[in-house]
Amino acid sequence: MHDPKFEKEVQQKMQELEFVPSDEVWANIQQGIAPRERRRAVALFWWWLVPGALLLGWGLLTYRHSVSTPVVAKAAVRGADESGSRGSAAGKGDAASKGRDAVKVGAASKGSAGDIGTANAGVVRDEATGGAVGAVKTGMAGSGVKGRLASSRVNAEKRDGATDMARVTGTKGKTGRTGKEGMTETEGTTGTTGMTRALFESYRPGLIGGFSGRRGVTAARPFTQPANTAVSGIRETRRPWVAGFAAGGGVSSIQSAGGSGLSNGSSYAFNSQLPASAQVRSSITNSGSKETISNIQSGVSYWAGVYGEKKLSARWSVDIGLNLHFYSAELKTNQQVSAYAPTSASLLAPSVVTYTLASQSSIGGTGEQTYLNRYYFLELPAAVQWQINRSRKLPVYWRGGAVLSYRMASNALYYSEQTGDYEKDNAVARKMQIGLQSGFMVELPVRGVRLQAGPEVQYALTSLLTTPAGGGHLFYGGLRVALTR
Amino acid sequence: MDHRQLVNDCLRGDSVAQRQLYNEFAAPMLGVCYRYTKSMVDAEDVLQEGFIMVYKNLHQFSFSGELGGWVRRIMVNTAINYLKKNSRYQTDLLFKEGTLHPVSDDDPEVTLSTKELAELIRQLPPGYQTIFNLHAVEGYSHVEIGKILGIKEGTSRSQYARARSLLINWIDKVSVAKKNETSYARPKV
Repeated sequence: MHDPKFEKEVQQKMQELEFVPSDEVWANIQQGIAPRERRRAVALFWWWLVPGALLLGWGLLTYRHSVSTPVVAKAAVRGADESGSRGSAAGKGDAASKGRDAVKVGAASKGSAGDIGTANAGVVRDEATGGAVGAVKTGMAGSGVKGRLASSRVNAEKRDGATDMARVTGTKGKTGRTGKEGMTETEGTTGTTGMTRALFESYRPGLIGGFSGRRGVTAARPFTQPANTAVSGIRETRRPWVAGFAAGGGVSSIQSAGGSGLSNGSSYAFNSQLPASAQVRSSITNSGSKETISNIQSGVSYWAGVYGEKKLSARWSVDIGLNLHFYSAELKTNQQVSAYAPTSASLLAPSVVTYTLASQSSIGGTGEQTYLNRYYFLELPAAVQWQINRSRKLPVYWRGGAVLSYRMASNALYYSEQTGDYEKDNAVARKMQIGLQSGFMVELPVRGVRLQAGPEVQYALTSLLTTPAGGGHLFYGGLRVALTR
Repeated sequence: MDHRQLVNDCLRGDSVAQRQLYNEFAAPMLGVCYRYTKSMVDAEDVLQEGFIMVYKNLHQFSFSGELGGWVRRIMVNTAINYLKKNSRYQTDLLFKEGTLHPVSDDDPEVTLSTKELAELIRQLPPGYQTIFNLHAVEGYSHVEIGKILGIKEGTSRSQYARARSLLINWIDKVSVAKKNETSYARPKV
C-alpha cells in the first residue's frame, strides 16, 4: 500500500487551484435561475397551443365525418334525371355517372339523409366535376344566387332544409324509399342545366307536393320561379357552428388615457421627481427634450387560438374564440429629464407664456437601460363579422367585437413613485382587461379551406394599472389570419 | 462568513445574496472544473451548469456539512455528467479493463506549482484523468468511483495505479528539468 503522502500533497495543491471566470458565466447563470413564474407562464403559453391544435383537429375531423350526402349532389342527380336531353358542355353520360358517383360517395358516409359532409367532399372532388360540382357552380351562378350559396362549399344550413326536401321527395320518389336510396337509383342524368334547375327545385317548398309517382324526380315541374325562392328556402335552415384556428402578429404598446399629461408611449410616472413649478404640459412639443422619466416603446406582439363561428345570415356571422396573446413593450430607463419653468410673458403678447429650461436630471442612476416588459394574456374575444362587398371571389368582411382578457403572467417593471425605483410588482397591474377590437378580413381563394386574413387593432378600455393615476392602456395592431374548413 | 444567512437569502430570491454566493465559490470551483476538462471554455460551461444546479437544489442543503463541500460535490457531479454528455470526452470515459497494476511505492515530493501540477493531471490519458481526480483529489473510494462511472472497482484501482505512476514519472522529469533549467517537454505516453 503506498503512502498517501503524495495524494495529500496533490490534494492540498489542487485545493489552491483557482481561476477567475469570465463575466458571461454569471450572466448565463442568472438566466438559468430566472424566476419560475415567467418561465412557467411561457411554458404554459406554448402548452396551450398543442392541446388547442389537437382539439381543433379532432373537432374538424369529427365535424367533417358527421355530415352526410349533400343535397347539392342529390339534387344535381335528380335534376339530371329530370331534364333528360337538356345538356351542356359538362357532357351527357359522363355527367350522369359522375353525378351518381358523387351521390354514392356521399351516401357512403355514415349518417342520415341529412348528412352532407362527405358528400360535400364528393361534390368538391373532381370525380363529380363534370356532374354535380359543375352543375352546382354554374347553376348557382346562373340563377343569380349570391353570397355563400355560390361557393363550392355546401353549408350545413343548406343541408338541413334540403334534407327535408330530399326526405320528402324520396318517399314520393321512384320506389318510395328514403331520399338517399331513391337518389342512388336515379338514372338518365344528363347535362348540367337540368341538374342545376332541379337543384333549385329541390329547395323550393312549393314543389314538395309536385313530386309524385314512381319517379318523383321526373314528375317535378319545370323550374319557373326565380332563384330567390330557393334562397329563401335555404335561409330558413339551421346554421351550426364552424370551428377554426386563428393567429396573428404585430406590435403592441401602452397608450396613455390622456389627461394625465403623459405623451404617447410614455412612462407611468409623470415628472413626480420634479417640483410642481417645473411641471410642463405634454402639449409642448417644441422643447426638444424629454419630459418623462422613462419611455415605453412598442414591442412585438403575437397571438394564436381557436374560435367558433356561426352564420346569422348570408352576410352576418358571429364568432367567439379562445386565444393566448403575448404583448411586449420596451422600457427605457435612466434617461435624462429636463424640467421647464414658466417665464414671464412678453409685454407684446401677454397671453403667451414661454418656458425655459429649469433643470436637468437623470433618474435612476447613470446609463440608459433597456428592459422588455412582457405580458401573457388569455383572451376571450367575441365579435361579429359583416361581409362588406358582394363579391364571391374575394369577399371582404368587417369584424368587430369585444375582448375579455386575463393576465396569466408578466415580468413587467413598474415605476414606484414611493421608492423612486422600478419594481416588479404585478399587484399594481390589473389582471382582467376588457377591450375592443376591430379589423377587416379578406377571404382568400384557397381551395378546400376558408382562409381569411387582414389587419386588426385591439385597445383595452381598462387601464393597465390599478393605481389611482391609472397607467396606460394596452394597444395591439397587427395582422389576423383565420383558417377553417 | 455566516453561510446559513446567505443560503436563506438566496432561497428568498435575493439576487445580491446569490451573487455573493457565486463570488465566494466561483474561483475554486472553476479550478475543480478545469481539472476535469480539456479547456477553459469547457470548464466555464461546467461551472455554469454546476452553479445553476446549486441554486436549484439549494433548498436541499441541510447545513449538516460545509457549504463549500456541498457545492464542490455538485460541481464534480456536474463535471462527470458533462463528460458523459459531451462527445469530445467520450474517449476519456472508455475505461479499459486490465490486470491490476502494482502501485508504485515512489512518493516524490511535489515541487511543482499548483497550476503546473494541474496541467500535468489534465494531460493524463483517457480515463486516467477522471479517476485520478476522483480518488486522489476528491477523496472518493474506488467503490464509489465505480458507482459514479459505472465501472468495476478493480478497473478503478488499476486505472488509478497507472495514472499515479505516470504522473509521478512526469513530476520527476519536470522537477529535474527545472533544476537543470532546461525547457519542459511534454512527456510522451
